[in-house]
Amino acid sequence: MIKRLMIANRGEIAVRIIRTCKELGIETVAVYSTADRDALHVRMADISVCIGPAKSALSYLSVGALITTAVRTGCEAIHPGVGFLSENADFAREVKKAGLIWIGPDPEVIDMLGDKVVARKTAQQYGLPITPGSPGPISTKEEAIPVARACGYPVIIKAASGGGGKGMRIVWKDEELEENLRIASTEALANFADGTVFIEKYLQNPRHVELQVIADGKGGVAIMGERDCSVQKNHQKLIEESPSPGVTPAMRKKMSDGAKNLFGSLKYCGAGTIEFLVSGEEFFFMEVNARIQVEHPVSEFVTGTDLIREQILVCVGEKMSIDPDHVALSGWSIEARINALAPGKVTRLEVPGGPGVRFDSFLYSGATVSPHYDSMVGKLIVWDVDRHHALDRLIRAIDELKIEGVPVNIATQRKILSNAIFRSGQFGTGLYAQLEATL
Amino acid sequence: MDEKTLLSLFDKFEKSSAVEMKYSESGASFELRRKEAFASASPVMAAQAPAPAQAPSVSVSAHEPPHTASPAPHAAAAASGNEYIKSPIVGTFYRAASPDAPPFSEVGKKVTKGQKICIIEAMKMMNALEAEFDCEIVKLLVNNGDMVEFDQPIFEVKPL
Repeated sequence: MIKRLMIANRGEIAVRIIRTCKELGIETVAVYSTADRDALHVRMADISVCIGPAKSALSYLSVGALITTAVRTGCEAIHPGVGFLSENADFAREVKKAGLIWIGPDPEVIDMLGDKVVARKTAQQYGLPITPGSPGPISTKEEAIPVARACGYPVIIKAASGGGGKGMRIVWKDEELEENLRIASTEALANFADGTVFIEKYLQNPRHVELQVIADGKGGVAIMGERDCSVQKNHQKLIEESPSPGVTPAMRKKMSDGAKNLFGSLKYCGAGTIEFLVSGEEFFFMEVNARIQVEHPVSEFVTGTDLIREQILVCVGEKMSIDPDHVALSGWSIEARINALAPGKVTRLEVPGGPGVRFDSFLYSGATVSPHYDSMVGKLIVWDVDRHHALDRLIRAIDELKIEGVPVNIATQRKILSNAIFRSGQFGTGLYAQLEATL
Repeated sequence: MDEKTLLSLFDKFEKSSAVEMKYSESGASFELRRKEAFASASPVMAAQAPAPAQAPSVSVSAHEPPHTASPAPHAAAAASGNEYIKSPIVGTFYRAASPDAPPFSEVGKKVTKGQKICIIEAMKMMNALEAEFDCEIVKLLVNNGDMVEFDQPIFEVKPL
């Protein structure tokens, strides 16, 4: 086992990693920016080093400062956490070049999974369905019509080098294709200097479902159940649960088999997530996140494991304590993200407790919520025997949570949790937009 | 741990500018905090008021000292009229360009704006730190070969 590990991150996830390291007997080195001098992770770590000013680009994203700190403090490994450099293959390469262990998959695997076209092809190769669409670029109406009809309307025209909604057009019938192809291509050219577009089936109000994976780098792959993250505001997840109310045992098996094949063949090492869009009983591969995720605690509750511990174990070359062929899922777990609506200083904090309740956060009475970083300040997670009980427990717990001095989204979350559509379990990623007016 | 070691650690803490110290060894542990360590827990009345000079929480694990027990609080002002020159990056502090070269700075030495005062090595890059104004070196706050943090005071100087 390694003796000392540096966490190249801040906030709640840094605190989360330190907790597991303490239990494993690994000393921790925290890094912080000048805005985080009094942050909880700085106080909890064995060693803390200020690596730069508040601006992330000069601190938490500064590869040089991070590697220098890890080497100089005698660390053997770097845990990247979530966000920041956690899926940056170049950083992973630098970490390895400095003789340190990277708590994550190989940089080559990160690179491969980061390229959406390659990732889709690879997923398909291992038996995972991808959204139907054109095999290559589409430029004329004559090319587009047969593809669109084969997919079935509505379809979406997407920019090949796109992102962030630019160069995207939803088309409902043949007659609309020509004009929208032209608009999408012009938009794509203006935004990405590449007018190439392609066509895909457009899923209306799909569910966002993902599988939690822990793999040992030798082909051993444990599927730790799925998570449903359909409650999203502008693609930001708000509420996550495991299992998903929309996944049948047959779907779960098919998803798991494909994921096992994919991760096993990649000799994937560490924690990862494979995301799907689900429409009825159909599901389509979306992407792989080559890291631990914010919402991992719901999977920890239903599988009874510490995923950060397993992630560290496999990455440092120890044996994982999970038997990949016998992962038992029990009960239901739900997480509500607690987000700050504005920066400030916490003047009072009351943390919920009782059976099946967990609050992961970097807050304490007197803590500062900085305007420089992510707005998430905590995660309230509960477990109970089934969805109905878990929801009641989460509402009970969220009512116990009191944060003063910093405005947070507790009231909104409570409204979603009590909403009849949410409670029915029959909803998709459009739920938040649908409810927004009433929140 | 014997009493003598314990008392000497207490003494060292007393004399340092650290506000908090944690120590743990198999079976024994203690934490020391000055009242300043709790200052941030009290409600802030005026958010605009300048924060009191406060040392970062320096966790000292006495049996493993590779890290910085910052000799001077980051935000504190130096003795009257004096100023701190702080490290612009994380790295290793060197007084000279090479082990056998003469040091760039000595206590009492007067340096002019733009003159090299030390080297901070990071990622095998030797970064020369230059004086931003004419000054006299009053005190070296770190030792040759020490690790320095971002914003850590490394020289106390008297502007000329």
